[in-house]
Amino acid sequence: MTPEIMQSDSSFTPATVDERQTVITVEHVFKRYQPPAGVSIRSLAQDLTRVLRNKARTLIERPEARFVLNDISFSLKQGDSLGLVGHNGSGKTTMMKMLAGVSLPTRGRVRVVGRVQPLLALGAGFHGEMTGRENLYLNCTLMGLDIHTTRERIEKIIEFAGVAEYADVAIKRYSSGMLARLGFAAAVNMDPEIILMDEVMAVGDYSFNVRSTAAIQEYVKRGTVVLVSHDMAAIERICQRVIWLDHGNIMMDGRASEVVQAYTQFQQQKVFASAAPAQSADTPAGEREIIVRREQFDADVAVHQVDVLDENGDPCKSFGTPARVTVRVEAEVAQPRADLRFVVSINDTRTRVLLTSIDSQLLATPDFVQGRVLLEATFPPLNLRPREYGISVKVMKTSALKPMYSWDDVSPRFAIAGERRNPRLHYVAPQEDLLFVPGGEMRYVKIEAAPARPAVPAKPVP
Amino acid sequence: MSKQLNSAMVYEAADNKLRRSLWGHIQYALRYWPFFLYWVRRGIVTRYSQTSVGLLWAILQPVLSSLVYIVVFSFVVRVNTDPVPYPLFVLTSLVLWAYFQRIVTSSASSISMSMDIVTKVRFPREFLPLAVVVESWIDLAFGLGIVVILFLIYGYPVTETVLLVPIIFLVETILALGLGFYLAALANTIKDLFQVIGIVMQLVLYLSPVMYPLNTVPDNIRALYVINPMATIFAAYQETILFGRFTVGPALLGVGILSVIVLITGYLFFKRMEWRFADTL
Repeated sequence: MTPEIMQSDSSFTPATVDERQTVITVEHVFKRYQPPAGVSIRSLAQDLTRVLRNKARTLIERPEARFVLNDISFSLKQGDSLGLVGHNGSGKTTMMKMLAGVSLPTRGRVRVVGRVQPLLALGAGFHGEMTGRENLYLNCTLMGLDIHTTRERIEKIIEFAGVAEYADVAIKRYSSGMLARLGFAAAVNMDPEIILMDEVMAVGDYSFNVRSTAAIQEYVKRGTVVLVSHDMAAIERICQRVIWLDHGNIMMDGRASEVVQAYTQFQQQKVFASAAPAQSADTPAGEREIIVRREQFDADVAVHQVDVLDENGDPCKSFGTPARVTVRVEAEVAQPRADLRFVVSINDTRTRVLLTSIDSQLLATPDFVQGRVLLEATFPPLNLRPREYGISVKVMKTSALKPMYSWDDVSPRFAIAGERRNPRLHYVAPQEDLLFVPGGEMRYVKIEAAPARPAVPAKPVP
Repeated sequence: MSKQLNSAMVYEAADNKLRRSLWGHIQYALRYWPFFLYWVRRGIVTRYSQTSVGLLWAILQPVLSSLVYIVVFSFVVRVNTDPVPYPLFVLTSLVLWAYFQRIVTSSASSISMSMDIVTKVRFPREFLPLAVVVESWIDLAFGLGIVVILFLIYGYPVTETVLLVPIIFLVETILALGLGFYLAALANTIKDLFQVIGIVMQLVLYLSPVMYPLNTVPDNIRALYVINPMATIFAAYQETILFGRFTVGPALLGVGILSVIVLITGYLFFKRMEWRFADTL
């Protein structure tokens, strides 16, 4: 154990003897990626001879390679749920790859008992020319199901996805929504023992979303879960335990609520200290500047500006109850993109919990987006607790789980006026994780196929 | 709540190594056999569904390329294949050569074609090159169908030596798969390999008795052909199918042993290198 690990006060192991089987063991794991192998004949010959002599035990020492993971140890028992948090490049994905069994620890030991299902992308191995049913056979058997279980599951998956009448149609003819539903249904109906999730999924139209949210909850209860997410609310909801990774080291390991709190505080301090305020052309001078955390994962997609408007379409910083909030987002898509999905959410800037969202996938999305896009998301009348709030915007692909661009207000953008301690006012989303309250609208005000302009470079996020 | 864990599925890796024997690798792969079948099916669907004439290409490909060689070698450069008619000779050889070439070249690209699953899911990756072999049987079957038709058209007789063909075919397949494993393991990190493979295959084609019979090769050079396993394999094919004799038995045995060695070492090398697939992006 490294000394810098902050120990949380409470321990997870109950006083009584825990008889559950340990399913994941990670012992003193170090990982170093080798730089792309040299094309030199010499290194090739070396590799060959080493392997043939079965001496490939040591890696060639290359000074430029650094450790992505540094002495990581933890273990999980059957039914445990672990969240991994940390900035980009902290080693979360590498850890997941090792648990998935596609990458080896450079040093240390990884042991995983049971069938693992990595939910890194929906519909891995799907092929457009094959029918829905054929693709499901491929997907299920790829995840290691035997043929009997596969046959049994497929009907269940098709029914869950609601694509029964298209089961024998090539999936290239599916709509993006159907495809996402099929991938999702396949993912949650495989019944693996260990689930590796990279971001929590929410797909499909409204009625499917209700079912998929319920399915995810049911699904994570059945197995041992490791979840990587930027969504702290999801982490807290799903995980009992959280490990905070920073540059490959364990910063903190403990009860979910404590680690998430420590991590968000740390992150906010960093952002406040370093981030420049969002440049908003129409912010009157003298007003408080809003601090925004932006992350760009796709160079072609950028969000330039986010404004909060009242029902008359005027910028607004204070709402009464119920609040009628409209969010205007100005985005730019440099290269034409199909299947774009915009998710506009209201967050509590203090706790960083997402309260409610409007997801374009649940509404109508244009097939094809290019150029500057101005969209307005109108929330249904909200009963929000009187305090300050910010906006989060995520631009994603319908089939992917990770955003292409993410915009998060760190400092408040608008406030709800009113008596602080009114017991009748509450958060909008008390219902578990159903973020999508019906009644929201999203419309595209203007789509201007402007000539490609260099996208705003992503701000390096601490 | 307590569910019986599938304890057969234990994955344990330590110190940059997955401790598993050759037999352990095979046992692990065998559990995934249904995936293999669907993967092969996917490969076949992918290959033929996107072209407008689909499966017809499996027939057109060998016929058209044979036509090229027929023009070159029976009109421009005359090759003596007595008593076999040259079109029959070249088509037979080319169908069997195309099989070898497809396995070797498609295996090399099989990993990079499927990076989406290779970097995310654990499954026996040897299925990717192995599926190439099974997929190639489709083309081969169509090709051999044309060969049979051509035999009937010419009324050319076959002797009982043709019964040895399955053995030669087995040797050819083992060698191709073994080389395929080596190339699949390397081609993902060394992209230049794709360029080299094309040239080398071309060279091997001309240095093997594929478009000409072995007896047209001058004696002093023919000794060199011994070191080329493909030369032995094709000499054996031609003798048994076309000339009704079999004189290369000892050489073929040697090539057979070599092929098995190539396959086993290639497989182990592949299993060792497969960990780099997800690490090098």
